[in-house]
Amino acid sequence: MASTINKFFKREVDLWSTSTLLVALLIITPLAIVVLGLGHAGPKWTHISDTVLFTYIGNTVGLAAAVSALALLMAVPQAWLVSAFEFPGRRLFEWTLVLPLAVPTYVAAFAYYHFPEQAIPLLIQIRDTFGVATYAFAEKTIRYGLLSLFLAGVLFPYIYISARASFSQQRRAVIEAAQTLGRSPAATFFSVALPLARPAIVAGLSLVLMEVINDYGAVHLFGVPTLTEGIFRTWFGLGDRASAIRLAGIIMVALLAFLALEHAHRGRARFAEPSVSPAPLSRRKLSRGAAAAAIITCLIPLTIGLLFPLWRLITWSTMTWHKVFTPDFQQHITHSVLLALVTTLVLTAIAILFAYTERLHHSRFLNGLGRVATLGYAAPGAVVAIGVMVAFGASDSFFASLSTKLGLPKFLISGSLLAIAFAYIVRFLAVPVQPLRAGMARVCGSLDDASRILGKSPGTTLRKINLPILRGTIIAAAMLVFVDILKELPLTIILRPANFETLATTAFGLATEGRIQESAVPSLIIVLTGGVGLIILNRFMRRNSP
Amino acid sequence: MSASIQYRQVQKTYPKTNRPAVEKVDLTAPAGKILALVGESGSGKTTLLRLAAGLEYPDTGEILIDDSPVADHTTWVPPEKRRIGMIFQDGALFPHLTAAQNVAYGLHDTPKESQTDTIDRFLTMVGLSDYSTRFPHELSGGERQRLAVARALAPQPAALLLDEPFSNLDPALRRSLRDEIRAILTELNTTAIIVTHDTDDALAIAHQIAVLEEGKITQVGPPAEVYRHPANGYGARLFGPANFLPSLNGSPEKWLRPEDCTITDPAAGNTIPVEVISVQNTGRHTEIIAQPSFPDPAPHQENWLLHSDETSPIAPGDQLHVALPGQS
Repeated sequence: MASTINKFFKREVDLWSTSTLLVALLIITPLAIVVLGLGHAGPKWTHISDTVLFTYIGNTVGLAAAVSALALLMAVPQAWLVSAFEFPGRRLFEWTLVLPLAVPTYVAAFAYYHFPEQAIPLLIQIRDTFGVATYAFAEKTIRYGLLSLFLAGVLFPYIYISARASFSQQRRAVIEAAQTLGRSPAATFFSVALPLARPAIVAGLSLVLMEVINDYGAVHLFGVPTLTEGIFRTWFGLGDRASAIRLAGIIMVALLAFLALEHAHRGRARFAEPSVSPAPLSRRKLSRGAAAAAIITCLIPLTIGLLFPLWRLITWSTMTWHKVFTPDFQQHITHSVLLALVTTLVLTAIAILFAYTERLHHSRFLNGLGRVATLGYAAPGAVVAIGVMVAFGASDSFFASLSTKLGLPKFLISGSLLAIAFAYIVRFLAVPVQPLRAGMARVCGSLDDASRILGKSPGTTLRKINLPILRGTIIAAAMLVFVDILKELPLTIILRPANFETLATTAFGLATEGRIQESAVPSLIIVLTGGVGLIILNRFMRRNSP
Repeated sequence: MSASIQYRQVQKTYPKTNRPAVEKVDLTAPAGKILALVGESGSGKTTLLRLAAGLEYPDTGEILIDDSPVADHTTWVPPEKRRIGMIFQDGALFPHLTAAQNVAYGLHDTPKESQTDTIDRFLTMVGLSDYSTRFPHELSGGERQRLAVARALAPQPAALLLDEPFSNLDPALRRSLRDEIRAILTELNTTAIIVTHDTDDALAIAHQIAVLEEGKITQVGPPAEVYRHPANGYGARLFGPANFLPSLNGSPEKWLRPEDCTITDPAAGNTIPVEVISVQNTGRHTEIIAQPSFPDPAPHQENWLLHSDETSPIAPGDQLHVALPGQS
């Protein structure tokens, strides 16, 4: 026994595994607090469960279902069109259909905010003709329908990206076999291409669902109370922290169950996925009529998710920028960029540590811990924020009693930038870890083994071999994180220190004050930064694809 | 300087597998000699190599390099401290470094002033002295594998491990590189363990061959012995066609190579009668599939493969007689 423990310490315990263990435990803490918080009912819980809980759940599930259905319609046919057919504008659509991702859900809500107002004359007519009940139903339908439509419009690229990748990797021979067996292009799509791409589509869809559940800004502006909105109302409206944590716990457990299901689904499907073929799909040229239909099919989601919001933002920005662009606002930009930049650097460093430790130590425990620590990407920002707030609240009281005993000045972490940066790390760790993990496995192969055998320590190997080779992947991953942090809203609202504003909170603050047109300026900056990031990323991925 | 590598009762099981990848292996690669590990895919060859390199941990048992333990129940020497060189199947050349920089990578213990000489010497040894500024992707498959040899040997390791070093090369290149590497290793008197699934490579390059079957060593010996006198049917078939001769009159069962079975006159005595099943002319010789008949039928009787250079036609159904080695 003693020798086994001795052996374990000699092989498994080093700077890499110890620091990974500590950082992972730190990151898991807020998530664990939320899950454990399920057991505690706050003072208002009975009231919540009797009145609004089922509305929250119903709205969340209904919205998720509607957005999923619309996003599938906006993503899958388009991905198939740009992969399997040739038509004017195909190359342009191929990459511009990714760009709606640069528009955060709450910014899309600003752009569509005035739409329900346009329906008021129609609604009044409905009320006068069919009565108040029908009016209320019609009003709700318009609001929910519009919300679902533009949420799908900015989230469909998650499905589009994975579906396009799957279609373009499908073996040409399989598709051609179906065609030589007399199947029409449409029949080939439904009988061969679509079933083969199903795992990829489901993976993309799961990201859409997570984003719908994460959203706070859009559902708040459109008056659709989901579970996330419920957390805000319970904590800040009712002042019941324990019940807010319980709501967060419900979301977290539901998402974990969903992730486990998705994983099981993918686990079986992996065997069915085709290998990458050197012969890509040969694109069939479309006739004039069919090409026009294809262009329209691609233009619809692009308009809903990108062109219309962008047009609105640009028009409003030109009208209001002189009012918004004050020294205060410039400071908000600086805050936002600095916070995002510093957090990105720390996050990327942690991601490198995690991915490299996984390569060094084939320890199931450490790998499992690493995977649990990246679960934050599935948790809505509000849920992460609550976990972080509770964790830092506990540490604040500990340090307060310690400083009283030692006679030191008091310092609160929970209201500081440290708390918000830490929460971003919990929420976005998966974003850089996953590409780095994959990159290390795919690109580095046996290179770091070779370096170790040539006498270099793990640290030197990382510095001289892994980092230079993975430079592109690291930059791309860091850019994704930067854009995600810059546009993050719900977590930032909860955790930002007093009088600290980011671009996202500035935009949302202006919008909730009814100054929608002024919110366009910070929104446009967020969208343009995200867009530039996506374009660079797209170029990088194209250069690195086989 | 060369050192022996010893495995003592080494066992290793990977997670989520139901049998050990290597099971209680006792094996020694003698100093200055080349040991080849052969076996089917999944027989544990590469695992044994990675265990010696320190890229895998043994579950039990010990590994010694130059008689000093590097992995046992109390000791663990990480790969960078084992003074071992390794050549990987894919070369594992650092793509962002030039040929000279790749060779220089392991020379951190060499004084700066003699590094250039060492790089030149090893690049010249593998015939790449003119390519020192090229990057790996600017070299051909054979050149890349030569560069891997130079990089592994430049730090003057105590032993060299080669993991399927020829598997990505075409047959002609494979043969010439195999001869070059053997000459270099012999000249430097380097201990080497080579893993290969190609038994021709093993027979051509090694001083000793160890046969691995499902993680266990079933035979260790010089190439000629392992080829001519395989320990079992697995070892026999690994090196090409083998005809099973069951135990007759108390003699042990054997596996005979087709070239050792001569078609002869029945009068020669002590022959095995066979009935021809099919005949195929391969150009070099006639290949005959025949069913042997033994006085005491063996529980599993397999057909034999025979070679014949005779000009007289042989047809299915013919009765022939085969003389066993040393009896024709």
